[in-house]
Amino acid sequence: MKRTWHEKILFPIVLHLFIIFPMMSQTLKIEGKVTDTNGETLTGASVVLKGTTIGTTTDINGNYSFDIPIEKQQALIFTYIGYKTVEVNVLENQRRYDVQMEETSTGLDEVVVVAYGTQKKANLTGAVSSLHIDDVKDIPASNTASLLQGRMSGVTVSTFSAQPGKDNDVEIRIRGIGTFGNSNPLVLIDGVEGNMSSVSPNDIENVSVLKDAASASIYGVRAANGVILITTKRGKAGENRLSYNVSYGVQQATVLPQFIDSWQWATLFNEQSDAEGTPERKYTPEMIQKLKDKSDPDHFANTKWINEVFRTAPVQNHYISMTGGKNNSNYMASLGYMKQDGIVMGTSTDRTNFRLNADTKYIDMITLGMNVAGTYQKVDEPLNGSYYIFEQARTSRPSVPVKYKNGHWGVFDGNPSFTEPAKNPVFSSTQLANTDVYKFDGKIFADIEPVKNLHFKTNFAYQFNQSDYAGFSPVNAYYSAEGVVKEGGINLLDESSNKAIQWINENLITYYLEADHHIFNFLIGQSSQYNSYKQYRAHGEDFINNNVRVMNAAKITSAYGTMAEATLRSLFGRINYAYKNRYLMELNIRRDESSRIPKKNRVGYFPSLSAGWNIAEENFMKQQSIVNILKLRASWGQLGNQDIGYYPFAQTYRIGMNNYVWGNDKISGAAAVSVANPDIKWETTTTSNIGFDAAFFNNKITSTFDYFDKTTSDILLQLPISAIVGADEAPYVNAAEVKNRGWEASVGYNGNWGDFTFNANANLSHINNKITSVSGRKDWIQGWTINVAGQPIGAYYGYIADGLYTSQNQIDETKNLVGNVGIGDIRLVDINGENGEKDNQITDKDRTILGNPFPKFTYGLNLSAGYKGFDFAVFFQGVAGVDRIVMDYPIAGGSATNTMWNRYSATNPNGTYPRFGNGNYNGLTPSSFWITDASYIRLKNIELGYSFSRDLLQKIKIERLRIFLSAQNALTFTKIKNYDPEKYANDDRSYAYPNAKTFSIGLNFSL
Amino acid sequence: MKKILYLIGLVFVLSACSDFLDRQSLSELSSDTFWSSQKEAEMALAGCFDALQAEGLYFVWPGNWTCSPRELDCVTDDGFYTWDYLPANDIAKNTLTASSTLVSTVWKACYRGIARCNQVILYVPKMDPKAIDKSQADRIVGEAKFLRAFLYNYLTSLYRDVPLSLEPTATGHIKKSSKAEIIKYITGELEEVAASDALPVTLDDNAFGRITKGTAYALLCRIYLYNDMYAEAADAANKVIQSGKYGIAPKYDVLFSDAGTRSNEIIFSVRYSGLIKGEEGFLSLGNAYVWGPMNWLLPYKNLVDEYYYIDGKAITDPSSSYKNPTDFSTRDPRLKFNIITPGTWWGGWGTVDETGPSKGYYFGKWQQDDWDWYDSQDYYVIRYADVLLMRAEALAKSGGNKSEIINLINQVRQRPDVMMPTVETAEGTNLTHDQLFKVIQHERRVEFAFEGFRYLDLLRWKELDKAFARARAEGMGGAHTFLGAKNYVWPIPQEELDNNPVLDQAPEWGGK
Repeated sequence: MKRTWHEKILFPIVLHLFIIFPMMSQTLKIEGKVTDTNGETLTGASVVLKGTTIGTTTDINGNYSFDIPIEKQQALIFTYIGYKTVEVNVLENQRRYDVQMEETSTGLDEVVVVAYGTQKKANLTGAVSSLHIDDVKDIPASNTASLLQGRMSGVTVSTFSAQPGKDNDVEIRIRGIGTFGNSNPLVLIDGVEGNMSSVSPNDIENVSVLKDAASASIYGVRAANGVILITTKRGKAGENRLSYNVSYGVQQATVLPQFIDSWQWATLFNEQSDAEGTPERKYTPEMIQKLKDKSDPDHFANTKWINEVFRTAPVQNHYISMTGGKNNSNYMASLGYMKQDGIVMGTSTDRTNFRLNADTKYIDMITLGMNVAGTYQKVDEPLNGSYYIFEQARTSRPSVPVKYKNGHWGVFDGNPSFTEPAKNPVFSSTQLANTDVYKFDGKIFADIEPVKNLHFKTNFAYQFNQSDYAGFSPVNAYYSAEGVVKEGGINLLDESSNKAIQWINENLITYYLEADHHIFNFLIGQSSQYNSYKQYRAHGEDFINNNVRVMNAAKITSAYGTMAEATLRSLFGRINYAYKNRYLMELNIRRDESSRIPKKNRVGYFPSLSAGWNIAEENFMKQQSIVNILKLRASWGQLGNQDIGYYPFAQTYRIGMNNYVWGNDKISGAAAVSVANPDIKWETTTTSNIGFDAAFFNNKITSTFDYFDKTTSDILLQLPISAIVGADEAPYVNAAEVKNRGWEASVGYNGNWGDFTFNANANLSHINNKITSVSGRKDWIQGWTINVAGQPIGAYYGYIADGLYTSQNQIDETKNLVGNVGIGDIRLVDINGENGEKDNQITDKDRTILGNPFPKFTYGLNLSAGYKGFDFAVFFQGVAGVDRIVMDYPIAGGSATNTMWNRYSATNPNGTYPRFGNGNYNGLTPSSFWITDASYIRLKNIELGYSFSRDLLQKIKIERLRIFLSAQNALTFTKIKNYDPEKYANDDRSYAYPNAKTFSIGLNFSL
Repeated sequence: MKKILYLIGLVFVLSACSDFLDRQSLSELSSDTFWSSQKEAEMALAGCFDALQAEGLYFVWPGNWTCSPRELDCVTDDGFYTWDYLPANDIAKNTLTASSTLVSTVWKACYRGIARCNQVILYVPKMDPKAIDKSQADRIVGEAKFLRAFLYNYLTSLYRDVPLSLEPTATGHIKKSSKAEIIKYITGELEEVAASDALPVTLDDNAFGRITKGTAYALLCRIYLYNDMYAEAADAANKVIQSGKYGIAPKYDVLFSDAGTRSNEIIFSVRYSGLIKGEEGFLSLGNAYVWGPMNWLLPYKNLVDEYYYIDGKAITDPSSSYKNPTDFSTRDPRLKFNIITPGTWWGGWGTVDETGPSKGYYFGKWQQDDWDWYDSQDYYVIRYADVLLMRAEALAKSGGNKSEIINLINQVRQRPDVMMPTVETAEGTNLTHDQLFKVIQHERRVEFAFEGFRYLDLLRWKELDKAFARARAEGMGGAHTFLGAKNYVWPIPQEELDNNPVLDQAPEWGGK
């Protein structure tokens, strides 16, 4: 059964339009079978006698039969969402009518999920991307957000880490970033604000992304970063189905840094010790010999820590669902289970989730429904997080063994100048912290239709998220190779509990009016939303032993707590108008009031206007058959952003954290740690969009193009402030303006030659991110980045480097006031001075823009093909025109990469990597030396499946059985060595936890 | 049908209630209601004292941001770092830049404290007189002014010219003032506070740690001395001495333990308590962290050798009876109180031997050989011995009464459990003022080792070059190349320059 999402959603609604009456007069039995152009049966297609309400729907095998009164010149109408309507004349002597229906998935009947409802794609005037759910439905994904990567134009997804259970560590950007604060889009799951990680990928029926202001402005103050609408599956009448999907995969790091041998590292360490004036710490030639010949592995090991802590890890997914319905009641119930070990030792997760979506037509006028979903997830990770393990693997000495021969964890090597134990990342990865996550989402709704086409819809949704963390740090015994016990420290237990509650009530009135060729849709609505957050933390110390891990067993305990709440109240309305399906218009307005904004600025209005022209519907276009669709669209609108904390307008004094001791007693202190801004107001994003949708050659080729200009003004940001203010946190001010300008194009092709089918979808987006003004100051610089008008947000900033100093002459030539430099240090270039001219010295005036942290282009290409039972798909995704920092940090503290081995030193005068011993200058001075083009192309997914033939399966009453092999992140093409290129902006690649490549095998099965 | 419409109407009406949108912070105190009682004024003052417990000031931990004055001792000839990433080590390694963690951490810590003091100094006098007694308000403001002066003195000692911020500011865009202007302002203000009745002369037990008149004069003495204002320094010291409230503690080793924190030698300390969560001190941390004596900061042999033989003569002095280099019991007793020497039994670790980078010497001051993480050891900032030696130095520098100078030095070295020979016996009579100054320099080094005085002393004496040379001769612990004027002033943090458009870098670091 090939089905698209809109069939599943709209089908129950359509079904109710045809009320089946028992026949009183003389009748004739008509029967037949409905299939698609590929010969696959269509279940639930409606068959109606033209001009009457007499009809039925096809059963699971596509068959139908019903009685019709005997009259002359009758006709049967076959309709099925996503397919072209078929009309067949009833012949006097024919009782059986087998019908083949043609798909119109890219055609005029396609329906798109939009704000507070659905809309025919043909009548859409805003910029909305929909996920081709068929492209992703069988991918064994462990989290939802990663499914979106590269699939839709204008939507950039980057995963931060492959750590299991950290689904929230995904960055989604819709049309770039327009703010300095939170740039995450609003995610609505069945209309309720939520997090993508709380919906199982298998439960998803549809994903729509509202990209321009016209389609998103009805969400007002929450919509500035774009809106992602996720619709979950619902049951359909007449289709009782049990499905089971299972997959098993193994994961590996996409890339790991290549570390040099321990004797090489010791050589670097010696060079550094000489340069820093600590020669007593050096490894002696005898020690280096032992590192080389491996004769004393207890004291002089050659440990590649990174290989010791990374592993090949399994992942398995199970998903079982039941859907169906009868007597005006539908249901969808699902249960999912996922178990994943991480590629870093000590990381794993275990997730169980369920969902029940049900609805019923209570009486003719009233439909009632509910969605209930819950998740329990357990996340294990090493104490202090997996990043800590990665960090230790990078910074621990390779001369220390993983374990000594005596079986104890290695923490010492044979260099006596290291008296403190090294951090052993393998040992650290055995000390775990765990988080239990509980999520509950519930929603009840009613749809009342007192008169035809007038709906009153109301719903109440409640969401509860809790996560409980517990991390116990035991007293550890450490050993040397000689077995000497060194036990020390204190055992600690940290527990915390975070609880977030949200409720929302929405009330809508909609009215549909059709007169002649005029179609109107009205919507007016109101909503109230409440969010609260509460955190409780407890800390205990000095436990009786390492086994009793409860607070009661601690000698000293302390507790902290904090809470906050926010409310939002809104009114909104929309009018759609279409004339002859040719001329389209839409008008939206939203009025928001938020508790986060001070009273005087509290009310915000967010209007939008859009229009479309379906050129292909014009009479003059009816003559030709090449262009099936051609629609021009234009829109303008405004959106808001309120994500600035809870009470940014009030000056507060923090209590409980700034205490002191007078006498013997604790004296509670108070301190103004933040600065308030009582004049704070909304951040406003204004977007203009023009675009077109087109389809050619009988819808075989489809394309969409958009050009947009998105300007965010009054951006709320915390400008870094002078330390003289004395605050830990800078105030939010409405201070900047950012422009994102760009275009997006997508092209699709689908065709078939006999049994061979082929689909291609490609998308390409270009974004130019630019700060247009920063009021109050010229620029601000944070470490490696600068924010200044004319440049993208967070542009890389620093000195231009010209290789390394190779002679004293070069050092004397231009006075370097940035650091104390020697031969082998990064040579900076004098480009400017106090008076805007070269002054023959390197000062902070010589800093300039070094690179762009935003991909200029992002793209995706999905190719899929099918032949008989086989299906095959490849999906490439990539970015171009982006820079990243790749450094390796030139300090021989621990392990070193092969890049670092090529350093300058007296023995390696042609080295291109900076010398060791001046790491603060070489590593901490931002310079172009470390900036690299981070473009990449990645084979994100490749999949081969086989579906057993339907004829065979029907004999054993199986609907579908498919097996597949797939690989994710299998290949990556990039200039960056040793590290994964994919990650969000402003980050040193050499500290990034790599992504995982996953090879899976799986089964889809349904009854 | 009608009922349904009524119901719909009702839902829309109900959602219009207005206090739904008015939300106040649930976790913090709002400015609308703060400054309304003495309790709150004292909370704000406690917040000012709390600022001293910050990294960059008097908080210690072997971590990435710790750089208290004690840590600064270990970039001189007194000691060195083995954990080279610790921030103050940039000075010894010659890697100090405007981007160094050291310069930004100290800068931020000082101004955070100053900003909190500025709030108290501005708002407490404006409080409703019914809410707070005038004498209490004056006391609180006086204490805040003391802390502000203390922090400005530290800032100007390190960065020389800095912005003088005296009121709460939302931008902090303030130009540099010269060191002389700042010193003039803060000493003037503190003299006024000390001369008034704002501060008490003595403290109740439960107020120990707060500021008295004596504390204020002791700080004034230090500020004057650090700025070569010898007459004023001697005068301020004399007010402390004449008050009769302070003395020399009989036991040096007890002084540097929990039991010594309430000694009348302690004039000002930053308070800690191991019994109160969040207020624990870590000065004695060693065993619990590294299974032995503290090893991230180590003393140079050069400091060890500064401790005289018990006859009061330097061990290099040919006239000394010093013979046995492994016998540490016949040296100035402060050696064994301040430094763990080879052969010492150190609980839980064993006998300290001569292995390791420092050849068996470890700092012993503040240290305990237990396994506790936390202690209640206060960080001493000004003690009576310091006041005595400061007056001695001021007199020596200004040609004061020699016998008084000698008497002051003798009071310090003849502490009952130290009892080193008097100046007259050891160094002789008829010393010139300059020679007495040298005696004072020696006395300060051995008396205050590892208390956070050495680096600032070397800066004001302009003797960092000599100290670097001595450190370099030890052959470990950083390059210690003397860079000239750059070594006597810290750069203003780059971050601050980036955020403060009216501020210029110090000329030695490329500014104006």
